Amino acid sequence: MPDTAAANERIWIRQAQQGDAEAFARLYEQHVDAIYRYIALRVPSQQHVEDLTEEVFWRAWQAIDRFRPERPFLHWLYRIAHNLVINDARRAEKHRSYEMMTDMGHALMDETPSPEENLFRQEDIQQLRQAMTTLSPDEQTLLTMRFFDGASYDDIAPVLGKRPGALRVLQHRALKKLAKQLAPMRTVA
Amino acid sequence: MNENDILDSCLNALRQGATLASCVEKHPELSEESLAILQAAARLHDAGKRLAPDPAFKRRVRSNLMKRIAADQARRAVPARTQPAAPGLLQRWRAFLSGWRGSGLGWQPLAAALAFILIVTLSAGIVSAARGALPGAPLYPVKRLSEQARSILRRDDILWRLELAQHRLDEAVRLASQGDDATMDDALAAYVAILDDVARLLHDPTIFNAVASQAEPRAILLRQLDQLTTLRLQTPSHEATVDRAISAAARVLELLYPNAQPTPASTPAQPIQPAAPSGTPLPPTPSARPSPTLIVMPTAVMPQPTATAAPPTPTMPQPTATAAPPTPTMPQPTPTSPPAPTVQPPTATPVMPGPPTATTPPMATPPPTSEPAQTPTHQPPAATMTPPTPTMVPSTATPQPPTPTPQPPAPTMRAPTATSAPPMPPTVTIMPPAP
Repeated sequence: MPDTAAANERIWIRQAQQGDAEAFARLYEQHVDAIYRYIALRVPSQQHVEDLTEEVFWRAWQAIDRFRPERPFLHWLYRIAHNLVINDARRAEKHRSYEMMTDMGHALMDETPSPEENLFRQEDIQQLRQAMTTLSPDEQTLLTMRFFDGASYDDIAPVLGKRPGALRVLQHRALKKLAKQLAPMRTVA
Repeated sequence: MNENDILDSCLNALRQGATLASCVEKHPELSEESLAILQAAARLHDAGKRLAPDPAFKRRVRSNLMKRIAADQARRAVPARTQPAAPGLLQRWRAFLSGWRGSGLGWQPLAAALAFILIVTLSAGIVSAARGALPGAPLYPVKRLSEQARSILRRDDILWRLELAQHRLDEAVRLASQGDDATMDDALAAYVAILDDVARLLHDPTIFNAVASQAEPRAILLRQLDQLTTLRLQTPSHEATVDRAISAAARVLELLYPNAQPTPASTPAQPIQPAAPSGTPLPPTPSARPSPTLIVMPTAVMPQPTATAAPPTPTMPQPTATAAPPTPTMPQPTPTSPPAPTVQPPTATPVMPGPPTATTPPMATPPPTSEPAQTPTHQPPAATMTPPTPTMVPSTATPQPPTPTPQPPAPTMRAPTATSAPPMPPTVTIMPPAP
């Protein structure tokens, strides 16, 4: 993040901590894409992705008083999203499976999906999402932050609560598992 | 550079925008496994580029967020204005419960403690509410029970018993004001019983010595005598009951202060000289300590004097057994004192005119006053009056032996105002101490 953007972000964070909703809106616009991608690759329902994305920023607003400015704001958002996705997966587990949710969600959708929904439903994305479900939550977060947002190990370490050296090993193992899951799909495709 | 290092280099290049083809071209020695890993990472990176929310989604979520934030700020602003800075009782209670839950002690000890506090609080409230209860009221048994419980702890406490007697007397006064004369009699009977108990306890030297030196019992008893006198006036049909109470109080007063307190039942009556000793010298003042003056004026229905009381003679007053007033024949304590009257009753000021009749023996003997009256404030009644009564004379409460330097007599006596026809109730008047 450029220095100017980082300086602006610190200002907005401070203003948001003082109750400035507009400053928080700027933080939202700066990081919503990354959070959306992070969730979209792990949640099979478009509507569900939107709900969770909104919930991540809502919880960030509620807890922004406790945010420590020395940490990257995006990583703090990732941590919130990480916990939300895990809890959501547990709830989905109780409701049998994500697939049922997806079917139900699709049934409720318009018969003519939006371009975004079309993208969301693209086969390679679906395959990647399905392969990601075989990874642990930490592995999913690690790969998402590494290859979606270009985060370093040092950035990811506080989000996952692990040492940077351990993350290198974890990334290697996660990519190996992901490649193993994607190989037969590619063959079939 | 080994395989892992090459893989890491290629992964970093992919993260920074390089293509998979460029990496393979640069490192053709990569294994199949490493190539698969790089392909997975490339797909992941590519998906991240394509998975971007459309502007409509971002606007929609932003709008929802701003609405929720505005509502949250409004909700926070209202309590901030209305709630005090300090946590309220409810918040403290919640915090306490939360802490208790975290302590792992379980709920049974807390429930037992709360039940105990509730019982104690309710009991204290009921006992407090019962303090003003009158006989017949629902809470009156609670009041008596509470008194009995305290009596167990203060078994030999004369002051506590006098306080109990005061409770009964107060009840009697209130009942009389309500017209409940029958219940008033019961209250007075209880009052007499308590004072009889006090009189019995005072025969114990230990108890007597502990309380005789105190001034409070005397004040209580004098106040009660005053109340009883007023009560007697208010309830003429219950004179006998009230008089028994007066006698009981007077008896305790005499027991406590045998050398100081005149009582109507224990001292012989003093004859009243027709000629008031106006301006005549009076017995010397025994002590300089001022004390209130008790004036008791019983009527013919007053309790009979004790057997030792001698009927007065027209000419010679009978001194009381306990007091040592100067008699007409006694020499004056000091040469400087004015001459003693030759036929003066021991009291400083005569209150009743005329010699008592033979049919109306005096009820009590007026003891000498500690503060002799210098000038009687009353005029003796006419000699033709036939008052069956009042033989009572005023007296000070603490007569002391004569001193060599008698004080000038003070007007401490109150003369009877009406001694004829209707018998006067006994009156107990607390006179201010002589200067």
